Amino acid sequence: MKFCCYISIQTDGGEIVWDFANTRALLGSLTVWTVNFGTSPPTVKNITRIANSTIFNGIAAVPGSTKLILAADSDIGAVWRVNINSGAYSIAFSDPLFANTATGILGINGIRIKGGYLYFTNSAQGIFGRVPIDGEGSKIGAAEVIANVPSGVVYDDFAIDDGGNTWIASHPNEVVEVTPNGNQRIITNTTLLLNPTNSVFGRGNLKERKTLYVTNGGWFVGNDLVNGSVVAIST
Amino acid sequence: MFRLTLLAAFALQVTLGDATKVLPIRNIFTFPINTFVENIAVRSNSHLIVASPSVPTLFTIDPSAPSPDASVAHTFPEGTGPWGITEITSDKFVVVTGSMFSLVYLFYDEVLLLHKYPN
Repeated sequence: MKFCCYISIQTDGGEIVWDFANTRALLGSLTVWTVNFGTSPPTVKNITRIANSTIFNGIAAVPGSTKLILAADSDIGAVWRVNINSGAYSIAFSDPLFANTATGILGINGIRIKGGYLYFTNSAQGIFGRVPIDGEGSKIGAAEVIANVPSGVVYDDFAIDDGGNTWIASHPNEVVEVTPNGNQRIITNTTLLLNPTNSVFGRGNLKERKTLYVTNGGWFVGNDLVNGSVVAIST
Repeated sequence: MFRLTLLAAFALQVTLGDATKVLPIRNIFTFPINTFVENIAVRSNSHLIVASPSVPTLFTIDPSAPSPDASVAHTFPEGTGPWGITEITSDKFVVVTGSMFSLVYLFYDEVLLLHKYPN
């Protein structure tokens, strides 16, 4: 095959190869918007186009700021900072732990910020880690690895619960819970977890805050991708 | 070239000592076929915001509804679909879109173009 970087997954329909190399936006097409749900319909504002990146994967607002977000560039292994008030953007920092590999195109993927740390997954390196940042979203210390991906699993985006446990949506049928000290518990479900791509905890009452909503990329049956969906896990 | 047969890897999980965990899981909403669902956020009113790079649309879902359904909250005039979503101030979310080359999958040894975006 001509593609260098992919992973094959056995499904009901046979072998599917996900080609991460082509999961890219056209250079100059990435656009940052704000969507205010406080109005009906939502008020949408075009903030800026990004001239020199092909992928902003996970994004996260900098806590305490009303204008700064960080964005994971899975291609070049960097974290960008965007000021949504001015539209200014630039690379905030890079790290070897964000880089992709010769066999895996998607490096740093999901990001979340909590307690002065940017937490991240790197799908290519198979790691979950963190790096300390300041109130401007700048790196102020060394990045470190918290967990290495279990065999046969690919980390994607994730959510962090009130206890500091991280719940990583993982391919092909997993959500991996990582405790603050790096212990992992694997939830596998081959009917309701179908290439999980992302997760978020609910908001509102206690039941919602304990509910993990997971997006499923979906699963091939024949040539069709089916069951792209949202499921809820009671944690 | 890196190929990993995941079915074989499942057996390894147990022997590696990673604990397995069983929790209740229920379906909230299933999208039409060929919708690669990729991103999710939640509003302060507990409604979910869901996006797929397959379509340039933000959906909202009330997960507490008896039969949750996806409503179109906004369709972007350009690009092929939202990637990241994050809340910046109360009920205001930052969203990134981009014109994807394609989401390409190889089925057996045939190239399957699930969604090809010429733009």
